Amino acid sequence: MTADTHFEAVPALPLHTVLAHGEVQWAAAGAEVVVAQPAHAVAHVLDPASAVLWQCLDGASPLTEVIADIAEAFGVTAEQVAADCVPVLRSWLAAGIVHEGPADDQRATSPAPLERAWRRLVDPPDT
Amino acid sequence: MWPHVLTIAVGDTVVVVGTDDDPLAALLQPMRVPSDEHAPDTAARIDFGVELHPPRPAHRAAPRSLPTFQHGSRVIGRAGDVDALRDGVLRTLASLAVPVPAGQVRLTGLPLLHADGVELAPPAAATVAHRRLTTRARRPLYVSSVRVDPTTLLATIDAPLGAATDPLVVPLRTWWLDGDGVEAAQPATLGRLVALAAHRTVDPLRGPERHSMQLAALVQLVDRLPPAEGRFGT
Repeated sequence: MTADTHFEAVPALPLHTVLAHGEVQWAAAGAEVVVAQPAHAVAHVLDPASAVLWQCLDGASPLTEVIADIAEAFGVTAEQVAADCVPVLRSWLAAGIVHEGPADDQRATSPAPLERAWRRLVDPPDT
Repeated sequence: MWPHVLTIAVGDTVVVVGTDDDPLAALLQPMRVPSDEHAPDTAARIDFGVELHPPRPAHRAAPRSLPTFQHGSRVIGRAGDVDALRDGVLRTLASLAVPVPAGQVRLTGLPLLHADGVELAPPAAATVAHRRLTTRARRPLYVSSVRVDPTTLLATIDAPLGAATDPLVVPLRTWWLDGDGVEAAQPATLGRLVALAAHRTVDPLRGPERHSMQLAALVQLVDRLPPAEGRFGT
């Protein structure tokens, strides 16, 4: 699980918030989930419990629904789940691996360029 | 500074190559694009520097520079074997136009060919002396990355740009993480090993979806062929 180093810096997280994955790449690795931020050359390993929470963030469901679903699946109260999950979600917000609101689909709806454009795809030198 | 600065197109990619090597410049000449027409900022920026004829030392005791192929400050190859470096440059350039097929992962590193297949050393191994590798019956290919199919455990090294040859497809025997690899204090779970290798994935055709596909392929690779324990070369 990611370190909760910026816990205090993150504002309160209302339970009606919708959280979506940020500009990250991620994949399930057994019961864990690996979340990589290529821009920062950082990768996080989420433990199995956090991995469940991560995979429930669909960018559309409010946290109340996500927490209720997890509570039902594990047979515990929503309050217990919220107490465990909200600090984790705050740390993810602080780490920039999730963001509030629906997923940004603007790129998918933007019109395709009419002309072929050269793309600079090679990383610039780091000198 | 460079005798030749060439802005070339490889697929949809524009790169700038600076070199002191006439034969390499001649090979790249047909791929040149007008730098001021499509990418005005590239003319003054060198992506790949290929110095194959460093100046001779002033005297016998002076340090001797080796021919070097690098991307920015990152060395991709440094060796006295100029042909091997030239080959690596052309293979690396060719790789920029080759997308990573679904289910495969492109990993940075130095492939070392030997009789049974290929080993993938960490990128930092590019600065290991060529002679030290060849005396261990390893032939380095000075490329920046290789494609790996985790289902077959075959590694693909792209054919040199402009050559009418097939890519090298060889069994991947082992590979190493960067630096000291896995820290002994931390349990080497599948997720942790993947996280340690995640920054080694590259894709010339970028996009978050493709990156996540590659990360899933990396998970499969680590599961089937975990990285070697310990540091490369020990």
